[in-house]
This record gives sequence, C-alpha cells and structure tokens, in this order.
Amino acid sequence: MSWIEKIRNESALSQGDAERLEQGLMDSDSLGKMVQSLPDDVPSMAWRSALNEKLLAASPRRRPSVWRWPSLIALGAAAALTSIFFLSRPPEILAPEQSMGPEAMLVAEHRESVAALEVSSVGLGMEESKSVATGHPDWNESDLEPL
Amino acid sequence: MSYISGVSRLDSNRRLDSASEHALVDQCRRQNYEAFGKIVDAYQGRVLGFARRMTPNLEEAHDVTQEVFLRAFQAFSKFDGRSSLRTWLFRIAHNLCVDKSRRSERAPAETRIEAVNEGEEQFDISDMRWSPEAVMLDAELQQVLDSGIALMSEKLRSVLLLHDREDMGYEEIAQMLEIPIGTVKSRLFLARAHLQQHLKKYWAGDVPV
Repeated sequence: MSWIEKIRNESALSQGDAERLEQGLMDSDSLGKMVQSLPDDVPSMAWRSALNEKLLAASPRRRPSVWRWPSLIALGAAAALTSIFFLSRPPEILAPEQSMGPEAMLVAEHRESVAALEVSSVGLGMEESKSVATGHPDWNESDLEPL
Repeated sequence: MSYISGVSRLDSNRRLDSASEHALVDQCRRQNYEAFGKIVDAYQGRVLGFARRMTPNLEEAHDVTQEVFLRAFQAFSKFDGRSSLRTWLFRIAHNLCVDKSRRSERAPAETRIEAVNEGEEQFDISDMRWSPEAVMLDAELQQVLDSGIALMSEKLRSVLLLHDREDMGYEEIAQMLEIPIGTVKSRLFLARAHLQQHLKKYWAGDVPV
C-alpha cells in the first residue's frame, strides 16, 4: 500500500510515511495561505437584527421569574378589591343643577333672580348702595350736625 | 490576467484581545446580553464564513450561524473555559453543520488523488503563478477556491477550514473533532491535494467559473 493510500484510509503511518506527510504539508502551505486569504463574510443588518430579537427573547430579563409571581398576584388582588369597592358604593344623588339640562338651568336661574328682586325690591343700584354704605368721601356725619 | 494582488489580509482587527475576551466571557456567563453582542460582533463573520462553506447554500448558513450564537448564549453558563471561546463556538458550528448535511444527505463525491508514482505526489505550487506571500485573491479565484472546497467531503473540508482559514492548530482541531492528530494531518494533506487538483483544472481551462 502506498503512503497516499494509507493516508486516504487513515491507516497508521510508518516513520518514513509520517515524514513524507510532514513534508507534503510544508510544501502545500502556500495553498493554505490561499484559503486563509478568502474574504470574510459580512452578515446583513437584517440578519443581525433577527439574531438580536432571538437573543433578547432568550434573555433572562424577558422570562418571568418565579420571584415575581407573588407581587403580580398581590397587584391583581389589590386591583380586584378596588373595583369591588367602587362598584358596591350606592350611586351618588346628583344635585338638581347637575341633573338639569341647560334649558332647565337657565329657567331656574331666571326664577331665582326674580325671587331675589321680589324680596329686596327694586332699590339702589350697586354703585349707589356702595356709596351709601361707605359714605361720601368729602364729608361725614359730624359735618351735618349743625344742620 | 493577474490572479493575486499583493495585499496582506488584515485579520487582527476582527479579533478580541484575550483580556477583553476573558472579561466578556465572565459577563456572558451571567447572561449579559450586551456583552454577548460584542462576542457576536467579533465572531459572526468567521462563523458565517465557516457555515457557508459547510452548508449547501447561504440561507442555511445564515440559519446555522444564528443557531450557533443562540445556543452559545443559552449554554454559556456551561462554558468552562478549558477550550478557547473560538474553539467552543466553532465546535457548535461544526456539529450543527454536520447535523444539517446529514439530514439533507449531502455527501459530495470526494475527488480521488490520482494514482501517483512514488515521488510524484509532491505539490508543484511554484508553477502556479502566485506568490507564497500573504495574498488577496481576486474574485474569480475566490470562486474557484470556494467551488473546490465545496466539492470536498465534509471531513476534509472541516479540517481545511479550521486549520487554514481559522488558523487552528492540529491539537486544537483534534480535540474539537475528537480524532487523532495524525488523522488531522492526513485530512489536511488530502484536502490541499484536492484543492490543488481543482486549481490545476481551472488553470488548464477545465473548470468553468
């Protein structure tokens, strides 16, 4: 069997055959350099983006861990209690204004102002009543005494 | 036609230095997504290049490469550091590619090294119009080399890519593939012999590009 046959069959090599193999590898080293010179492959951005998504999905930050369950349960229970509390409260009695429509509110407002006028009667205007209340700025009651 | 231009391959800038890689590995063991992203940045092109040459098409290579990084991320806590990060990633990539090709029953017929008389099996690289210096290949020759690599059997191809492309040592490859060092050397020799025959045919005009 020639040494090439032994190599092909991956048989044990004699000392001489092993030396030939070493020599053959040294002689073919330039071919190895050609293979080494083949350019690198550059993956696309889309490929990398897809990989990132897969890695993120596999990342432990995305996995719900066991220690988070109690807090999630407590949060859910609190939300349920709050909704029960609000749903079980009797409906608030609305003030008449709140239950009225805009037309009814206008009518009520008008009636109130009419009633107020009837009680107080038509008297002084706002400015007149103010000057009466506060007095004239140029004289006071002591000025009127001699009269 | 010039096959090769004399531009050295700049591969040092795509590798992490060992200190920063060690720090990133520590963070990745704690499932740090950002740290793992830096490892992906450093290795994605090389793993994709390996997968592209080990699988029948680019789409499968993309899928395999994503699977490599996904599995690595999920299993990082099990990475004990006995092998290098690169070896670990390429072992995952190799196993996935082998699984894929077995499933698709892709087994290219291995080109037999033509019967040679004693002494005639030496490589005659000096006749091949290229410098043995570090080189940059032109697009056509890259295509011929890639087609030659694709025609190899999976066991020759993986050793060739790991040794010549990824610059792994015989022992590292032997551990990774769980084969004896002598077998690694034999397979590498056969792979290069196969590639040489393919290139000879190309230069003789027998290989369509």
